[in-house]
Amino acid sequence: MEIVFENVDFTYQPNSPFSHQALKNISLRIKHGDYAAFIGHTGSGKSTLLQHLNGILRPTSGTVRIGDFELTTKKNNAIKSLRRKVGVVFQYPEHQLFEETVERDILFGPKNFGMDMEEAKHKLPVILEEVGLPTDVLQRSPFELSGGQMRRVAIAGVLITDPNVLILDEPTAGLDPRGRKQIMSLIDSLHKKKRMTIILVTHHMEDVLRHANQAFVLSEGELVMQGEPVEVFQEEERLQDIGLGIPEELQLINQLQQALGLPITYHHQSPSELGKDIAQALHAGGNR
Amino acid sequence: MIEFNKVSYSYDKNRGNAVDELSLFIEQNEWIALIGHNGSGKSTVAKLMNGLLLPTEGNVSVSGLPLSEDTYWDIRKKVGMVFQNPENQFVGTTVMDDVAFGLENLGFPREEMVKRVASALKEVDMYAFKDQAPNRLSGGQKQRVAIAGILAIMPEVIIFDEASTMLDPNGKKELLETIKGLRKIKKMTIVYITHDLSEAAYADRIIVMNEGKQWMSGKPREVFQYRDELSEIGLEIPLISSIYSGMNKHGVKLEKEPLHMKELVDQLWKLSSKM
Ligand SMILES: Nc1ncnc2c1ncn2[C@@H]1O[C@H](COP(=O)(O)OP(=O)(O)O)[C@@H](O)[C@H]1O
Ligand SMILES: Nc1ncnc2c1ncn2[C@@H]1O[C@H](COP(=O)(O)OP(=O)(O)O)[C@@H](O)[C@H]1O
Ligand SMILES: [Mg+2]
Ligand SMILES: [Mg+2]
Repeated sequence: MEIVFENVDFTYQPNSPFSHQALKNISLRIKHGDYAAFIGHTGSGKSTLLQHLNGILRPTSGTVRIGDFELTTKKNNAIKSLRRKVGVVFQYPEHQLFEETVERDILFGPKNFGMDMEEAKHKLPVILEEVGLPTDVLQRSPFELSGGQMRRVAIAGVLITDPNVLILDEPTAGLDPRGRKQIMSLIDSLHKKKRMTIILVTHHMEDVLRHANQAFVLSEGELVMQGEPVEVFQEEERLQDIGLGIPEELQLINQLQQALGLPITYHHQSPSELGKDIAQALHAGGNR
Repeated sequence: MIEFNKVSYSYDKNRGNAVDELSLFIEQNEWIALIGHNGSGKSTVAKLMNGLLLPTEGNVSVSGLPLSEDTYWDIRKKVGMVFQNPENQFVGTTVMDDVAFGLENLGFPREEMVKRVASALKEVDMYAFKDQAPNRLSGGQKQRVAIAGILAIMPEVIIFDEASTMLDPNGKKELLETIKGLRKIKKMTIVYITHDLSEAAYADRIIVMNEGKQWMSGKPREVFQYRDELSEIGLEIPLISSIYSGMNKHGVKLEKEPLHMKELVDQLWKLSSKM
């Protein structure tokens, strides 16, 4: 399902003293199977934009198209079938786990969408395996789980409706390094194996660089940059002006190029490989 | 300043100790980073430090005062705590009211209160915002106001329990700079809880927790030597340390292990000008 925004504006509480325009004339396209990352400082409009993707919010003006669905200022009755196809894992999803058992939490979506419950239950083991949870968690209370496990439960609850698009709003916020790595590689495998379109919001620029193939930069409700992550991150100064940084390894490469004239480039090498590249460039320079 | 002597704490008898026979000592004016994976016991340790919890076994003391049912109230005044979510910490309608709240609770006379609030807000560089509504501030600014609220009570120790977790990269930087600034102007013991080791690099000493125990303690440079072992307990050394270890394996030796990018670039610059 291709996602297209055409001149989308969104204003919270319009025609009131609290009116606030959170999205300004956004036009963009995310192709089927893309891994798109949205970056921008807090308040730049990322979550507002995501909520347009499954019809929680409707544009104040302009159009959002998701496959055959069209979201405009007018109400659309097909919204439930859209929500099945576009799964959203909200920020801190553990605050939205509320059922007594993990099983009931995961099955909340199917129930809500009026899906065949027997079939949904049948799928549980497969889904659990996909997100890397043991089957014995099903009868446990979601509150007994670790932060990383609760995130997986939330992702499982979205996957069970078999969406084509998976949206994740800061899915690794608050997780420790291991938890973060595991969630990022889970998303990678959903992207590759299930060919899902992934839309990720994150403050971790190195995750954008490593995992996404498209980056969209929001500032004050406007889409100010877009492109492949490596290209977008080349504009260090422009990003700095809007309060964003570039991944640390790219910062280092830039500084070494400028200060020492070392001919090092980024080619998705690991940190220790980058160290090796730097060592070799230094030795080559020294022998000249 | 803070001493734990074989301290254990258990939330639930059936599930073992969240903090397990932990002994540690934190000196006055030390900046400690307390790190460990989610669930390793950091917050429990923090709550034992300021008397929100009393140990199931062992003894805690803060500047010589043993923690007990009779003293926890006094200890809470000595040890202030800043939490993860700044939103939940606000009660006042203006920044100033908010900072005054803790003092009001302690029954401070009005005149003294006004003085303390003003000076605390100045210390975190938020005085200009004193009449604003706290909910209109950025995340980093909110945390600075929360810090001012603690400073006003004049504690000897401030604990930051993952206070940077919900902040964006700018907010994190702002928080760390604020702490650095405070340390320049006043004596203060800091316990900074995080699982981001590049933030822990700012501390004088790192205490690594694992499964309720102290797993290691040392200067950041010493701790970052243990990359593989840290990764086994769910932690990751800072990127710059990983890059340096790759360089090191390929024959680049620097005088001191770089903790930040600037330390790395500066030393490489020196090295290459000698080559
Ligand atoms: N329910 C709401 N009512 C009014 N303003 C809102 C609401 N939600 C968000 N905003 C405002 O809209 C802007 C964008 O917010 P958001 O989309 O949450 O940003 P981000 O996710 O990038 O941090 C911010 O200025 C925020 O204060
Ligand atoms: N209120 C509580 N009730 C029961 N168990 C708890 C409670 N708070 C923490 N725990 C358990 O204690 C252990 C340590 O938790 P905590 O101190 O919060 O770790 P950290 O702050 O390092 O993430 C974990 O196993 C956690 O599940
Ligand atoms: Mg958001
Ligand atoms: Mg904690």
